Amino acid sequence: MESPKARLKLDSAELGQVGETIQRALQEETHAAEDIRIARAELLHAVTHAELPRQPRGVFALLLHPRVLASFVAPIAAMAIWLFYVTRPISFSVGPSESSSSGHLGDVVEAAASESLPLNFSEGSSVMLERGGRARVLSADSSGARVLLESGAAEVSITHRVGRTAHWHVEAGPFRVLVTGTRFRVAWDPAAHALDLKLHEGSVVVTSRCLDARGSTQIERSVFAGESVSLSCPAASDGLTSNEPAASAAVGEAAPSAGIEPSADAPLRAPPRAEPARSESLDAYRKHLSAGQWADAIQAAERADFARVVANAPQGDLLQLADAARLSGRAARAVQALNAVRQRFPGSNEAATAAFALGRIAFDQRKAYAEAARWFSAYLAEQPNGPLMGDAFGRLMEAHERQGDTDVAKADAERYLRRFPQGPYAPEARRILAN
Amino acid sequence: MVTPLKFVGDERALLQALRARHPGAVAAFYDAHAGHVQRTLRSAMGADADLPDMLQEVFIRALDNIADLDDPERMRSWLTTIAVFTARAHIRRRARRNWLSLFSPERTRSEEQEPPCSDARAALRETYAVLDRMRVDDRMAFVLRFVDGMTLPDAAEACGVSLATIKRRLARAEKAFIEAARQRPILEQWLERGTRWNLRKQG
Repeated sequence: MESPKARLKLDSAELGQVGETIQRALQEETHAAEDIRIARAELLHAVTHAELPRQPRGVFALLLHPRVLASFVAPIAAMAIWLFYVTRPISFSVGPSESSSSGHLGDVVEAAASESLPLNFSEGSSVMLERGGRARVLSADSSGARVLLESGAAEVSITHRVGRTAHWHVEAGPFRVLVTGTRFRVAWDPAAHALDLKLHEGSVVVTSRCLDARGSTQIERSVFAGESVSLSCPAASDGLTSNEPAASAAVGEAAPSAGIEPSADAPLRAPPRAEPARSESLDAYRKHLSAGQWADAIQAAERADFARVVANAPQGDLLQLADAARLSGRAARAVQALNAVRQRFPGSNEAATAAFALGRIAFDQRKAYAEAARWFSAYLAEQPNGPLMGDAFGRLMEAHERQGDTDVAKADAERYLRRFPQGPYAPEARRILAN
Repeated sequence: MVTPLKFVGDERALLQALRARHPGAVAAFYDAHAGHVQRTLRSAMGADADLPDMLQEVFIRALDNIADLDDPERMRSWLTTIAVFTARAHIRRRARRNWLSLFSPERTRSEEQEPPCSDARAALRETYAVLDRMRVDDRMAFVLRFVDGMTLPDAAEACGVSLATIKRRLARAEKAFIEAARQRPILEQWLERGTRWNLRKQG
């Protein structure tokens, strides 16, 4: 783990060093001599044969020819407009149309106790959050969106688009409702772990592990127009924690429990509204994050109740909060935020990144090498070709060595050198193999 | 394979020979400056498959406009300016082309890049993805100053603007880069590890 000062390398005074790092990587990733040789041969050929073009020729220049323009530009423009329309991600607004505001992925949307709150999506679908309901739109693309109903009920109407398949997911606790075009009402009671679903039109598929008696398999259940179903799960089978064992499968041990202070295991769901009044709003930390005031950001989150903050913060904020905590020396809070990423956004890139960061904290700050090795293995299991793969391999090798698993470390070192003979951990790998 | 006659002479003689399109002079001119121009283009564009074409384009433009250069000692900085403007034009042209070819095979191919096989490559992609989102003038100021390591006056001259303008662009670019890097854990971790590389390589 780098010291807090390392984070400051991104400040302007240190950008020269950043530039050197970029330049060095460019040298390694490009083939300057080859580029120069190719260009030289072509240039000299053109000069010798008096073919020196005043303007480079290419597809774009050809497109500008008047006849080509006349023949192709109109259809191309029409196709481009059509493509733009069909491939753009779905956006959404929150509130009645006369006073709506743009919705942001990951933000909590909460209906007041006195009235419903509509979420209107750009392709015509809508989610009417009933009074007191609480939800968030987790992701959206051109074919649908993923909506998490945290509590309360919602009337959902998904527009069927001609010629296109809609892919919508409505999630509630351990349940996932797969939708392609329909209308239904869904209600989720987090205290009772109970889901109620009433289909007005079309059909949906509900999936959950908790529908399986042993809790080990995702069970699907179709629900058709006119049907109503009530499903409930015991709290222990809540799907929110089911991702962790998979992360550690590669090493055959239980996933690490990274909580190093009691509050790290606090429930991620927002507590009922009757909670004591907070002294600060849930997103007060944001202004400190954007100003680079790490310690202040963490203190603001703590004043607003850190557990609530990490239960509500958007995905991107959680990694930033973890960084802020780590850089201000608050490892336990970093772990808490990273655990929240793992639990709330399982299977995402960010969850894998969180596993890697948890490994770094275990390795660098707590010298817990066995736990670090499990987290790095978890990252590699989830993102075998991920951008931190090289680092994860290197760190895993170091963790095994520190742990005293010499044979495993040597196998790691061989694997690392096969893939990254010039990587930053290569000297370390060679040293391990030489010993 | 072309083997031009070898040119022998100083910079002033080279300039005169270039104006006469002496093939040997063109080769000497290219050999003397191609490394520097390639480095400038690479800093501006990143690991880009079009670098050889752009390198050739810089020298073609230079030869087209060689009459404008009256001081042979300014040859290197003059070429830098041409490289900066070539890179800038290329970035803008590519942006237009990307818009026009939304559904072309080239676009499909570019989205099917092989997964990065090293952290450095992945982080490099992220770096240039950040730079792609900057204004092109700010991007050029940033890469000349920090990636190429130019002084402020040299960067200003290369961009053909005043010192005050380059400072303004640089301030905007620094802010944008730092903010964007903070949003990208891969980039941040890679940049943080710069020191680690230095220590290990020197050690």
